[in-house]
Amino acid sequence: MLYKFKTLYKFKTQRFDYMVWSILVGAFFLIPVSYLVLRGIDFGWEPIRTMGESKTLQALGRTLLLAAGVTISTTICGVVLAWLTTRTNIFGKRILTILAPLPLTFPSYVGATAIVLGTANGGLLEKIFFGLNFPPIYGYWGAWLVMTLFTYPYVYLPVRARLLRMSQSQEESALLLGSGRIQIFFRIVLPQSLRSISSGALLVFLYTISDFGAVSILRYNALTLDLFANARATNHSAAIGQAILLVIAGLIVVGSERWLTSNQTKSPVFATYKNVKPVSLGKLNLPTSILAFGFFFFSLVGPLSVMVFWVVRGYLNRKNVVGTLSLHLDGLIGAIGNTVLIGLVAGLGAVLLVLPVARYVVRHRSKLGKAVSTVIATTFGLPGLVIALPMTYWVLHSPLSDFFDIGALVYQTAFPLIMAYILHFGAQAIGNTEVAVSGVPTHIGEASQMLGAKRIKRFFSVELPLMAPSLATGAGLIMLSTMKELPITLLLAPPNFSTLSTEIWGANEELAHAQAGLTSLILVGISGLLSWLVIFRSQPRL
Amino acid sequence: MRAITIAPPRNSPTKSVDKSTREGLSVKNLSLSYGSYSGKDVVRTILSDLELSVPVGQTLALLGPSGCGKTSLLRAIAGLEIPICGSVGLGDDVLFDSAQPLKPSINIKPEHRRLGMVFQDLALFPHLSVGKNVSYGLNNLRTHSSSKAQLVAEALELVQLPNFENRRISTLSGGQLQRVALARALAPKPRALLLDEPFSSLDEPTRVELRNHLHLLLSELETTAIFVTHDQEEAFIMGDQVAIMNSSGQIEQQGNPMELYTRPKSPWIADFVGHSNLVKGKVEKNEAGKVVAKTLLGDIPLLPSSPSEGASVDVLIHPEDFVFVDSTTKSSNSLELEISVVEYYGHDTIFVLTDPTGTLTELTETGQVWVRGVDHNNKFARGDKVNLKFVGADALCF
Repeated sequence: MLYKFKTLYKFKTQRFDYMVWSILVGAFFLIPVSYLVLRGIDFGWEPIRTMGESKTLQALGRTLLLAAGVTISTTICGVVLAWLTTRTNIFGKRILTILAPLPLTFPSYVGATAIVLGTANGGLLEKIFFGLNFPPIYGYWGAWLVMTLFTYPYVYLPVRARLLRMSQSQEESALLLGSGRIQIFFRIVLPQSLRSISSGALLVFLYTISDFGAVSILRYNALTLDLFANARATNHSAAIGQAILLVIAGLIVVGSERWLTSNQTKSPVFATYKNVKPVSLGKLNLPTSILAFGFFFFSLVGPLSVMVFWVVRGYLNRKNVVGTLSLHLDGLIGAIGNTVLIGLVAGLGAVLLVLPVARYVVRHRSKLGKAVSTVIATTFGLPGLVIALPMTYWVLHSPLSDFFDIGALVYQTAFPLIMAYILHFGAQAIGNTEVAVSGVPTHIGEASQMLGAKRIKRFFSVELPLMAPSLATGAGLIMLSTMKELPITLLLAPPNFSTLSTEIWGANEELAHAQAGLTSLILVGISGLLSWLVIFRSQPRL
Repeated sequence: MRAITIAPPRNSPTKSVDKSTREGLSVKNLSLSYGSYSGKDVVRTILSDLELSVPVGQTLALLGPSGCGKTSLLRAIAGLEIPICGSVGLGDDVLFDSAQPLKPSINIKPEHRRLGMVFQDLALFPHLSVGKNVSYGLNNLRTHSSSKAQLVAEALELVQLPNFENRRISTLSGGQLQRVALARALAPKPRALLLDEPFSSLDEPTRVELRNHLHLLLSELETTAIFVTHDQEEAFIMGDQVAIMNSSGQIEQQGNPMELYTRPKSPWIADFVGHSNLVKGKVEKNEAGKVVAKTLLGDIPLLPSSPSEGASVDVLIHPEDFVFVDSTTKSSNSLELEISVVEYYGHDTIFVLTDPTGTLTELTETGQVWVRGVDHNNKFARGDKVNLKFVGADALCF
């Protein structure tokens, strides 16, 4: 009996360190939500009054209208492209397959910059159409176009993966039972892809309602614009009210997606993808192909060429004040360095932070660990502005300021920015870290133990090398996200700390088109390289 | 005059210890459970009060049905599972001992036990070369690097994979992987070797080849080893000793293979180590004064230690202890049986006989009798009627 108690004690202590760590990490990731709730209560009726203001409600309406429009268009584009590239004999299928996910490398604010650059006075469109002055596509349609062109891969990628894994024998047997190809798509393929479609569409919706860069550059008065202004002016009571509205809107949509797909049967997934004879598009093949390539012309070639145009024009035309390319390369190199460094720190920091949690979940099948993992994943769904809000408050009002003013210590350093990045993008680390941990067979650690290796040595000689690829993917995804992030960076970057995103933003404000073009090109280049390394390389059958 | 015997003092230093009986690995009163202790989840008992000992330098084959806890026992010996109570000893050292009154508990960490283990899925390190895999354990012993290369080469030589040091794990075949896993376990010169169904994932020819090689290796190196298997044939071939584990997590019987086959302690073991017939009968004395069992298949001579006369018994008769007698020459007083299944294996043939008249359950529990013979001429076929004659030695009965 005595011994039983002893083992009981041992049993618990083995997991004690994991437990404490997981609780701390969970508490950290609960900061944004608890800030909204606790500060909201502090302010009493103030935030609620903001919510009720007609100005706020109208802004919310505009945000939802944009999100709805973008969700519909991206769903159509994503599903059609996924079907075309997996099931048909469309011309240039391989090239289309390679091109399709690439727009993901454009942050929304870079896409918006491209529209501004393209339609600006002296821009590429004006040159091509012999001085015809194009009105800039600002407002709703501009924002809709940018969000559609650059977020449809969120639908395309999961649907394509689903289609590749769907048992093609089902479609063949439907064919033998006398269905036509179109009928098969609507009756067999589409119903079974609904889960992937709706989860992709959900991502697009959440991304759009929390987007700040594109809507602000294209002057569409979405809710995030007000929220940003209030956060910057440290008008916290109004900001909290608007943040809560945004979160509630997101929650309602997430909830309804869950509810709508809850009775969707999970169809069995067969991993075998056999080369079944593709659907012949016949006479429609060429027009469809042209249409698809046209789409990529707008989402890839167009933006890139207007950027290149402005860079070249700015370089050749140095006398023109507006279009000047001010070649202060030091500042640009500094911004590149800052962008890469801060992304790297945030990525590695997040991976280190969540690795014990992932082990706790996978190895010990802990319910607490699972709960923490869910909290981390949920924080990903919160708008970046909502994540930044508590950080801006915290540096000014450190909770322990009477004894030890952490706020003053980290004020005007990159620390709050890194914390906000980790909070926002930690979910991308937790998923990959869990994959990494479960990818190491338990027996391998034990084999190393039986050969006399101690805990530290086991970790570094066996587990870490095996986990490294997945961990690197997690860190890389976070790095990529930090590059594409705008509002958090704008709110929390210390003075004189510029990143590529703040540089682009600044150039847009000053109408320094050539500068904006060059910086955007560099950003797209780095993010494209990183995307290829961490995302596209592992896509099936690319 | 009374003979005076003087018992030798215990642990007398003068007493020569026979190598074959000196204890290598010993397991006493070992109990092991899985499941959370929080009380919510059901605690599943895997091993209960298990006793096992492996003499120094010998191989013990641990045989049991799937899921009976063989692997758990091996893991408990390795220290990868912490038992609830009991002890594990290696030579004079205690590896694990649960707390007893006035004594602290001992639990040597797995990494300090110096036991070699070959996992069922091998658990080779996929990111390291063959040489690095084999030298992994040597690094932890802080072996000098020059002698390390030597030791790796020797270990690879031992498993017949010379000069494989720089090969990648992913380029090896199943049998080669198996050999690397063995070399890795052997290289640090472990005090005992634990093998968990090492051949389970191999095809038959490779399996036989490797089994012969390992058998030879273990006896040459005189390594104390435990070899887990669920295959009776493999256990009998590999084991100097065989321990049979039942589904309640206890060792039902341990002994050399011949003992287990000819003197099983229970009908369950008799059945587990080979199809044997348990023929119903009654103990009697025949005309010659010999104790026999009267059965429907005639009189079967019994071992002297059999129950007293008149008792109802099940007589253990191995399939090879019967021969067929032509039913026309009625030389035996056995019942006439019909051949219902013929399984031709080449080296022998198994006949399953049933009773056409229907006295089935008075004959054996299943109503069947198994007979093993050599029949290359297809003399006996399904449906033939035959009589049996017992040709074995004195039989065991339960």
